[in-house]
Amino acid sequence: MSPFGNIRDRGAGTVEKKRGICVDLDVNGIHFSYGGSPILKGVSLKVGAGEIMGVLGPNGSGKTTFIKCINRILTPSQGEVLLDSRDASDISSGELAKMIGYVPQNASYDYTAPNVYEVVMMGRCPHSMGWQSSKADDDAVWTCLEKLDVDHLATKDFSKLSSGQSQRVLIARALAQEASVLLLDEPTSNLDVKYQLEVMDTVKGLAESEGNIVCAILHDMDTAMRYCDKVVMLENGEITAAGPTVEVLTPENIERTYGVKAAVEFIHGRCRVMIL
Amino acid sequence: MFSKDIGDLTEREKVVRLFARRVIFIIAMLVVVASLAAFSMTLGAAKISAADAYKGLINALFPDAFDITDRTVRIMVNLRSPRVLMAAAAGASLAMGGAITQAILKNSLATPYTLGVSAGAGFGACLAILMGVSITAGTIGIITNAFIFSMIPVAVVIVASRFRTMSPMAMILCGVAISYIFGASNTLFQYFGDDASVKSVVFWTVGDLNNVSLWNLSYVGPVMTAVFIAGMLMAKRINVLGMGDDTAKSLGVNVERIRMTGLILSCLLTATVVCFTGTIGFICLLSPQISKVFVGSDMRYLLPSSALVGACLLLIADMGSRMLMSPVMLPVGAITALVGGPAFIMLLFSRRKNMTGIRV
Repeated sequence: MSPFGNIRDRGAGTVEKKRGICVDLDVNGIHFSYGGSPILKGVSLKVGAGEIMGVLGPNGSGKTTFIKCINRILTPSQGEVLLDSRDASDISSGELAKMIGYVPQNASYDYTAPNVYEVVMMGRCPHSMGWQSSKADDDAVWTCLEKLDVDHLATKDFSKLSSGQSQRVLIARALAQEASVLLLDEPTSNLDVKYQLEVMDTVKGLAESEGNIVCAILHDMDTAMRYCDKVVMLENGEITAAGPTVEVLTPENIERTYGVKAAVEFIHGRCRVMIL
Repeated sequence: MFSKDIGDLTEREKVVRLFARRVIFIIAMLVVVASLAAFSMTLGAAKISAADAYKGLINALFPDAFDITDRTVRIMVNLRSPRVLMAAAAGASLAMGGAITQAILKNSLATPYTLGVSAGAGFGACLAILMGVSITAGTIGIITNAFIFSMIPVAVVIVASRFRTMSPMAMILCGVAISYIFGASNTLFQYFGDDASVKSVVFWTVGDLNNVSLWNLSYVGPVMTAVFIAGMLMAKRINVLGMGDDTAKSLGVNVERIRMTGLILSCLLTATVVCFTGTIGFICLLSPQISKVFVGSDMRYLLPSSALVGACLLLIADMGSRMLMSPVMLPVGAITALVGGPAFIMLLFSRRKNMTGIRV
């Protein structure tokens, strides 16, 4: 039985679906191997509209592989990813790109850097593959730029942005896809505290106002405690704990997964995780 | 909007202005290429005035329009116009091949030449000239051989990628390795060849426009047009490849298919040119880099502007090759490399930081 069997309705039903297609992301028993060595061993989760799911675990536990299996960048050897009960493997890559937006760990560009407007316009690719962009595409891009408060950077080189700005631009690109599911691979890594809060506030705001389903790989457990509705902890490709954040981020689970001692205290109106 | 100071513009106006500037650059380059081609028609060993040269061209289309000698018309139709038109078409084609290859392989040094097209063509020509091994005899045999062998490296990459996924770097290294094999074989054949034949091979390898004919353009023109249209249709997907394969896949792009299609198109286009002209260097490497400075990396603007910059460069190099030691015609391939090399180094170390996208 899924570890989320008894908790999935906590947030899923409470947020109205505002736009997009998907209100339920259901991952069942995902297995994945690299060259014969298993990376994921039957990972499952369920997330509803408006919820933020934190994916936690030590390095090499399979978090990024798991996220990539959800949007079919990698093809799992077993298991299924259901979007509103539709199997993702039955959905074309173009259509899937309209449902799932992906924000990679590194805001890398391998060739000459485009400007911010062009980066966000790439999010319109699933909607218009022809050579010319339409007025609707242009409007959608400006809406997303303004929503993420990066419209003043539109003509700047993407390579010249700060880490926080580039993360926001990449989230704007994912929004330009009109995707209802957002997969974020360590959105706060390499960011200072101010930008961490800024990016996560943005993500939280989107989940609350737009009803986006968010799956975010996080390393900072206190950030997860602060922003995530649910958390799944991975170790060696297996789930060690899963459920509502306050129930999962306990000193026992943290020690079992990471091998470090931690304390969870209620300070200034919320639970905080402190590594001892 | 253009009269406003940049500081007074809204971001939307700045974006519109940016794209307008790119379009203006392309239109300006179109005018420059047309002007260079028109001027180039007036140059040559034969003493023909500019006015007579144009009259000769018009007479070729509308006989008896002007009172011009048949000799002038023949020179314009058989010598100058094929040369000038081929210089423009070959320059544009080589540049487009370079722009597509660099973008799909995410490497500013990658060109169809790096992938082994030129070495393959050289080996094919060498086989025909030195060993007489070709499907047909004479010049056609050399051209056919050059074309077939120039497509071998890309065929190897396609076959290899069916057995295992190849990264862009693996594709480039595969092409480099095949280039070495062809180069070494070419050297061995030349080692045992007679002097006259070896000289022919060397002349062919350098690349020039002395032997082009109008019928060559009936092959280069359609292939160039088809690749341009396909490139423009694929442009958005090629742009996304620059952000990484994972991002491209997450945006619904079939990365392997786009990469393979781009590779085939760029190599086919380059092979079509190279089999008629020999290996004209540096155009495919330099033109996209120059264009990027003016229009950025968006393939929708980079492809046409690279084509026009390539045409412009080869037209200039061709004029130089004809005029530097007139009436001796130097091989244009040597001129492009001699001028292109320093120009590329200047661009690379230019004070405009990262203007080519290459980190130095």
